[in-house]
Amino acid sequence: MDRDLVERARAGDREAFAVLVHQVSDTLYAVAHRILRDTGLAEDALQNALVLAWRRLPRLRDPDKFEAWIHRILVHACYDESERARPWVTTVRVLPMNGLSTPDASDDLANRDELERAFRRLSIEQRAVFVLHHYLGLPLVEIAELLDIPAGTARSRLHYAIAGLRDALAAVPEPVPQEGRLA
Amino acid sequence: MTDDRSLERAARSWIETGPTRAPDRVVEAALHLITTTPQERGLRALRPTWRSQTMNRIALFGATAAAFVAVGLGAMYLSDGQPGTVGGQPTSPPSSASPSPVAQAIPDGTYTTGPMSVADIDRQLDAEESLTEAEKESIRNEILVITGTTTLESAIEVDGTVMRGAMGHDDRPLEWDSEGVSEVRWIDPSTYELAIQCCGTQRYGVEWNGESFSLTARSPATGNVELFVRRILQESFPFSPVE
Repeated sequence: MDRDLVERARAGDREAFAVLVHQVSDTLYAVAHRILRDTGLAEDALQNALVLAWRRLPRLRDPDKFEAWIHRILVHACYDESERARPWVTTVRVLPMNGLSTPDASDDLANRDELERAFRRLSIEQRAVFVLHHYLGLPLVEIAELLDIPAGTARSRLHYAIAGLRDALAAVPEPVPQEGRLA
Repeated sequence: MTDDRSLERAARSWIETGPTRAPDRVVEAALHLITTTPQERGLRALRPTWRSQTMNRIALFGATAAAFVAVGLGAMYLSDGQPGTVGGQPTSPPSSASPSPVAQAIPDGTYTTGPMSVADIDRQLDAEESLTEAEKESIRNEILVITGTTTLESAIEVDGTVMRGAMGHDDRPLEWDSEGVSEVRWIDPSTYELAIQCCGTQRYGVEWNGESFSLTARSPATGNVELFVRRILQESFPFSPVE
C-alpha cells in the first residue's frame, strides 16, 4: 500500500482516497461476502466501511497499517450488518437432477451445502476469524491484532468454527452407490 | 470426510468460492458519499471549518434550532420521561387541546417527517408577508440550506430514554454545528445523526397524540425569521412512526 497515498488521504485528499479504495475494495468485498453470505449485506457493509474509513482516516496513526485498519473497520461493519440481516432471505440450492451428477460430485455438493448451513450457524465473530484465517491466510496473531482481541480469543473462535463445520460434515450421509441412471 | 485434513481441504475450497470483485456501483456510491462527508478531526478542529463553509450567524440559528429540537427532546426524556415537558418544566397545554389524563411515553421506533417538498417551503416563504426578500433568501439558502434540492427530511429515533434527531436532503447532507452537539455520525446516504452531549435548554417540547408527535416551541419569538422557522419545524414536520 502506498504510504504517500494514505497520508494524502488522511490529510483530506479525496482523490488519493479514491485510489486507495480501488486498490482494496475487491478484497474487502470478497471478505464481507464470505463472512455475511449475502450479496446485499456485503454490499452495504463495504459501502459503510469505506465511508467510515474516510471519516476516521485522520485517526489512523500509522499509514503503513492502513490495510489492516480498514479490514478491521470492514469486519465491524459486517457485525453491524449481521444484526439487521433480513430474515426473509432463504437459501436456495440446486438439486442434482436424474442422477446426472457423478457420485463424487454429489458428495461434494452435499458437503458444500452442509458447510454453507453450518457456517451460517456460526457466530459472526467466529465466521470473521475463519474467513480472515482461511481466505486471507492471516495468522491468528495478526487476526487478533487486527480485531483488537486476545490471541487466545482468536484461537478459540477458529477452534469452535472448525468444530461446528466438522460436526456438520459428520452428519452428511455416505453416498449410496448408484447402479444405473434414469432415462 | 471428517478427518482434519479432509475438513481443512473442503473448507478452504468452499471458502474460496464466491465473488472476488466489488460491484462498481457500490464503490462509486461510496465515493460519491465521500464527496459530501467530512473527516473527523475532533470537534475543536472541525468547528471553524464547518462554520466557514456552510454557516453564518443566521444559518447558525437554524442549525442551533434543529439541534435544540433534539436537545429538548432528549432533556425531556432524560428528566422525567413525560412528553409535554422540557427540562423538567411543566407544560401548559394549548387551550384548544383536550387535556390528556395520562401522559404517554412515545414508543420506541423511528419517526420521520418526510420527505417534505422544497417547493412547499418555497410557497410558504413566498406567501409570508412579514418577511423581506432578504430574509426569505437567508431562510432558503442559509437556514434550511435547501438550494438545489427537492426534498427535505427529518427523523427522530426513540430508543428507551434516548432520542436522536436527524435532518437530511435528497442530494446533500445538512451539516450543522451548535453548542451541545458532541458528535455528527453518518448513518445512511442522506442523513446525518446528531448525538447530543448535554442539554439544559428549554426551547422545544413535543406533543404526542398516540400516533404521531409534533414539536412545540417554548421560547419567545425574537423576530419574523425565527417565527417562520419555528412554524416550519412545528407545523410542517409531523413525526410519524416508520412502519
